[in-house]
Amino acid sequence: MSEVYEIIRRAKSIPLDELVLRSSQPPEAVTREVRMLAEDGVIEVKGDIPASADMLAHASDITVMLTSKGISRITA
Amino acid sequence: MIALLVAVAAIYVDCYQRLSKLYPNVPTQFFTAIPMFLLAFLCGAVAAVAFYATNPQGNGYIDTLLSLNIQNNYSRAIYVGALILVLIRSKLFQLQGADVGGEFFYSLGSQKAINSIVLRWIAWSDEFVERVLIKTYVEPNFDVSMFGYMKAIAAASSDPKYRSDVESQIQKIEGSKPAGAVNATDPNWQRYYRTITRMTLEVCGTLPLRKFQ
Repeated sequence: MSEVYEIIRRAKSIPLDELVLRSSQPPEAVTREVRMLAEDGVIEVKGDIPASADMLAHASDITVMLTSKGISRITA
Repeated sequence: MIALLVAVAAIYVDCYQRLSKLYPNVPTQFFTAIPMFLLAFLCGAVAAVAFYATNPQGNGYIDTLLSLNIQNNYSRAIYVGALILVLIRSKLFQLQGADVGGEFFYSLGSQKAINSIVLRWIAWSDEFVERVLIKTYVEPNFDVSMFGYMKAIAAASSDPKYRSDVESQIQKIEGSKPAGAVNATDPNWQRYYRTITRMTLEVCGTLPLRKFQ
């Protein structure tokens, strides 16, 4: 289980800037992981992820949250 | 009625235990979600039917299993209510790795109930953080005291990975503390305080944040 997913799993819902702040990985890696998890359907991203890594640290209006599928996967 | 209530309690305890293994701070108020109530009530109704449909003096397999030939109605009702979860979760057989039998339907229902609890909890947490956040800026050493609570809870955890995860995240957050005096309108201070508030809620629950409500 990746560090990014573990943070989202425990927080259940977290603004993207907080996720970047708490993760030990660089913002680009966090974004990549978030996109991958969203494609997998285990998380939902509310808002558009900025293209520039510099803007990620201030992306408080973008929220990442577990979906029903994500919850089912961890509680099954 | 006793069989129904005991079965309802058993279902609630089962779902609570499943969820609290992953999330130690499950607020009990979310267990009033409708899918949770329906699941518990349905299983309770099965227990009530099992109680009324069996004869404690009967010699058949079903009568013996569901009544243990207990003559006292109160004791028998408690027994049937407690047993119903075991019966419902019985696996008749497996098909392509999936359990078929009562377990299949119970897993389906309990998963829906747990999902609804977690989704309600997400909405509540976001609203809670926003409500509390504004009052945290005026608290002297808010960050230091919250880090202290989180470190204490992490240190008490039996999971070494969780301990190191929390400690490394705290270090990262501490390293991002903005310079100068606390300013509630500065986005950097907002992010710093919001992150601490959310992580405190996640690690310690609402207790350390109660005075800010």
